[in-house]
Amino acid sequence: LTDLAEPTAPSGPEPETHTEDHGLSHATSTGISNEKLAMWVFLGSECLLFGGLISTYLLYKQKAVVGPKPHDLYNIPFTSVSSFVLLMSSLTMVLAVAAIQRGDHRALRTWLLTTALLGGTFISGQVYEFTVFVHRGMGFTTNAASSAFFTLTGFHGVHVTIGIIMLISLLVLSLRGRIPQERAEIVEIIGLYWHFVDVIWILLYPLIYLVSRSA
Amino acid sequence: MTSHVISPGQSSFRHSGRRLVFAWLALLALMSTSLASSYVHLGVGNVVAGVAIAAIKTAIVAWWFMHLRTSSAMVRLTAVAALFMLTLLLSLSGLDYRTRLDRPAVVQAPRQLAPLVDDDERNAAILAPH
Repeated sequence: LTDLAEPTAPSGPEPETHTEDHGLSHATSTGISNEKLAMWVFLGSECLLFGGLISTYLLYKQKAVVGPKPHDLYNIPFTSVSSFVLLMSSLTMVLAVAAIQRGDHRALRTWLLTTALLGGTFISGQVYEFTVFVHRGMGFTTNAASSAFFTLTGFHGVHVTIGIIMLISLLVLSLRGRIPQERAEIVEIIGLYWHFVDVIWILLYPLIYLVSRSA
Repeated sequence: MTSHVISPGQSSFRHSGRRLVFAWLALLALMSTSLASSYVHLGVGNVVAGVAIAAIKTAIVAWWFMHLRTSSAMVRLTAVAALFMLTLLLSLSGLDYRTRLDRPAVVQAPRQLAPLVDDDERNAAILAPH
């Protein structure tokens, strides 16, 4: 039954349909595994989602008739520290991928846990920032600018939270011995997602916070 | 000598810890530059500098951390398509944002309409003794 999904290959040398070895058993004609390609396509669709949200924010950021505008309340030093934390998590994520690729499971768990903790720190900072904003009179429905701000950064925060859940899931799987070195690609795929979330913040940090500082 | 033969179970890309750390240090340096530039009033230059630095940082993350450097053409094509669509979205929105006037739009003067007459009032007017 397991052979049903495999393409029938003529006898002789193996056809070079898959140039990358990802540790999985199925063959593809795209050069990469279906799972990794699916993640890349998903991230492409996410670009469109965040492109729309960023555009909405840029269009509405000055449209505050009542209440404080978001850029009146930004704490740039605090957000810069949060950005540093997220950049740091990208490094630890790539170190986790490197660890499983060389079969170092102990290092994998260490870096996965570190990445999840750094992500949690970032989310804690975002929750704190949102709380401060609400206490200073800028809620989600205060004005169009605040709605666009909370929607954009909130969506990013949800993505980070989902990433943390996936990292913890990987950690649990690793502790149960379910991620052998041959399945290193699963860590790499989650890493792609995590780096994408970092890339989105790399764009949001200047577009939302720094531009308002110099305006 | 570097071998180009990849054994089963080994990843398609190799990591160089030193290169990754350098990439990360470059990201930190760029973030600091972006932060510092925001404290210098350059007008539109602040936006340009911020977006340009963000683009370089994105390229570093995608090229080294997301392994586009060693990925197949299929993956690179997917990434470029996504980047193109994102650029298109932001460019068109930015163009609209930059060229939009904040003054209120010219309002068309309402036409003079006949005054509305309630049926009861009309009947009363007809029945009223002249």
